[in-house]
Amino acid sequence: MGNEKHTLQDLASVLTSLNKSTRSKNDAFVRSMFGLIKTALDKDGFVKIKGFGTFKIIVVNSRESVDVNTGERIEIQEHQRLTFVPDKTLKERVNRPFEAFETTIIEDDSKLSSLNFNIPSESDYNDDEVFSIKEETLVQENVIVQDEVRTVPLNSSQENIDIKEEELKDKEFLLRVETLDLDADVHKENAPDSILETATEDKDVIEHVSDGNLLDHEERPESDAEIEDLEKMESQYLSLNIQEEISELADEEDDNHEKKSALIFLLGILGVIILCCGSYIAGYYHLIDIDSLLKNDSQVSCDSTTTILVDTIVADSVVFSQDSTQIAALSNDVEKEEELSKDFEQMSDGEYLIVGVKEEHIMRVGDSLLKLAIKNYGNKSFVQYIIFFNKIENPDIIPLGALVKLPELKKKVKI
Amino acid sequence: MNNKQFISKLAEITGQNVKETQHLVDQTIDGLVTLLEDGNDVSIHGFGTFEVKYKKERIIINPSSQKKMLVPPKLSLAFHLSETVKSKLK
Repeated sequence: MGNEKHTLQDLASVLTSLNKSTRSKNDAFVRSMFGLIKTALDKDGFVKIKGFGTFKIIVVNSRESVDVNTGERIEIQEHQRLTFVPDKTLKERVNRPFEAFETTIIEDDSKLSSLNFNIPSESDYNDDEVFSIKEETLVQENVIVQDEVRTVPLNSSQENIDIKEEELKDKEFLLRVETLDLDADVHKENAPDSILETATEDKDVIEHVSDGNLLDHEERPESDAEIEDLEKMESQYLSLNIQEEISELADEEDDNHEKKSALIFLLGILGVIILCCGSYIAGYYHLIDIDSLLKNDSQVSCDSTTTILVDTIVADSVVFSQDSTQIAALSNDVEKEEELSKDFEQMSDGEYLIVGVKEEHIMRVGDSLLKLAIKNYGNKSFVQYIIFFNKIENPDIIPLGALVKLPELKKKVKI
Repeated sequence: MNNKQFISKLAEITGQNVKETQHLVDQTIDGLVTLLEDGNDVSIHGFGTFEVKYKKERIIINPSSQKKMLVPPKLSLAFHLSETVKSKLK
């Protein structure tokens, strides 16, 4: 990571600062220690040091692969590889700057859950760290690519993990970079056979930059500084991309909100205009009726007064006829109403008749039946008609997106 | 070779007792981590290189609960052999 490389001498100097011994003695000690590790590995194949970790030699089985240059199938022979797994205490010490972080569950409605992310192939995870989250729990790695789930087999023992890692990791090959296309669909798995060989055997590097966001490439043994630099660039690019996408998402959401609110506002204005027109027309129509009715009444009353001052029966009959014309008019209205309302179920104790469907409304966030009643009928008491018409069982809980039919109401003619 | 055997062998080589050797080994590890904290690698000639790698955060799915989880970023210790030793292995 940094620019300098510390050496054995630096280690000896630090050791000297820690204990009372001389520099040369410490130097000798460090050399002997690492020398012994080497000898022990030769002899036993593994060395476990408390507080440090385990060095182990692993046999990598031979496998078939493809020559980079010629494209021929070649066989990678069986060979050995050394692995080092740090001790738990050492791991925690090294991770001290990040020790406060914990694995958290992502809720479904958060932004993170909507981001696309890729399948990292098994070769990406060549470290047992991947299989341990927080103390003892071992979690199986599952990754999604657009609702597809592929599981990496759970290995509970470190040995198995190491062997598997080694098999997959041991591709003596340089670099494989994939484009960071955020709209990419399925990311193809890094099958061992498809990895290309280079002539140089000693470069055990795989760089795997997947498409999508929050996915990193795990550690792999590197011996080439150029690759490291590329890796840094890629990681920066990745992180930039992540930031860009999050900000884009945020912008999109804001835009959507604005559009929605504008739409709602326009609809509201339209509704109000329609309401006004409708009520005006209805009122006007009603007025015409009354006028014609009144005319009839007045004519009749004139007749009655001229002919009857004596015969009360006649007067009564005129009155009756007045009533009857009124009644006739009323009954006409009632008939009309009955006809209009026969198609719909009516409320038993309502003052209004349901004569049709005025409007169909889809419930959105912030809508309520009361608001609809006020908006469409001018009074919240009309909500009972809405509830009745839609047969709503629980008016307090209306699901989002539910279709609510607003009934066309007509005041019942009072007889 | 486990820890006990390793320490006793090292004590033999260095001519000190087991307790002191263990203590020295612990101090060496401390020293190693101190050097690594700078952000630089520690390269032991004829053996290998220790380095600290930064691992970015990532999303995983817990198979038992099927919930998406966010693994935080972390630093991990890595080691790779020097070329000479590698070639010896092969």
